[in-house]
Amino acid sequence: VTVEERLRELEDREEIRALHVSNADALERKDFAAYAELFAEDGVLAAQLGGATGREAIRTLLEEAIGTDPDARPAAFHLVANPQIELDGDTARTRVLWVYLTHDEGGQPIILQLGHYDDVLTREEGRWRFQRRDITRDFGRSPLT
Amino acid sequence: MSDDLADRLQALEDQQAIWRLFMDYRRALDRRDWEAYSQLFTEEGEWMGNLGRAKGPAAIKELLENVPAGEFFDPQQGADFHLIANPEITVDGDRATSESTWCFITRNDEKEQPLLAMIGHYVDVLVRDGDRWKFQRREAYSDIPLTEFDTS
Repeated sequence: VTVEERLRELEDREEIRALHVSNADALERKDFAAYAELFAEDGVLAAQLGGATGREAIRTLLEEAIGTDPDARPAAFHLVANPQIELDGDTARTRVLWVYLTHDEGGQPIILQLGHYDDVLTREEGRWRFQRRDITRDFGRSPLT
Repeated sequence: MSDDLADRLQALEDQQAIWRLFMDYRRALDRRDWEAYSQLFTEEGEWMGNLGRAKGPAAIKELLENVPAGEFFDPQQGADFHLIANPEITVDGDRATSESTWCFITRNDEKEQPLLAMIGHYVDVLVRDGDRWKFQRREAYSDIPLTEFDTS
């Protein structure tokens, strides 16, 4: 293994971790244009609220289901944790835990739902992007229902 | 490549390998895969926490297999999650020490709502074992609710 390859692996892992944080950040800001940009051109999103292929379709799906007002109440955010990253050249697979935090009527923090992301990532034009993201809720309930 | 560069690269790789060890541990724990879990410890590796203490993979596996149902965690896999955060890892050659935070999230059966059931921290001694890292000692403390055990 060359120094170049060892460095590349460290850089890849760091960039992929940052991709997951950018994704949670875009979701928190309800900036679904930025969210969709994190996907490959023909990327696939498979979520409980529906599925979409391609950036434009992903953006439309999320804007219609969730809305675009970053100040909508109740306030909520996604905590992403436990990243597991398997690298294979220009492809990677990741599993990440997500925790949806919001508050109850009294203002106390609560975990409304949690689950995990299963992702296939691809290096496209020198950047890692989501080729496919499957979102699974393990327990709790959606704020949209 | 100068020794200095090689050392810096090695230090980053070691930190990441240790984080992956924590992820392997968490995954085995949440899957109740005690065989995989116990193999993350060296032959002399020791675990201690709420469930007791054990030394060596075979004894650690036996300890975990015999946790009474309903005590601390549901024996059924998939009903809860550990979330690992705030890793502080210090590598010194073939040894390392670390502290990290763990959160234990369970299912509230009545409401189907996730519940933050416990928060604690790990204090670890790690050693390089061939081409990977293993636990030489893991102390699993519960801070909320506070429980105490003998670490001597």
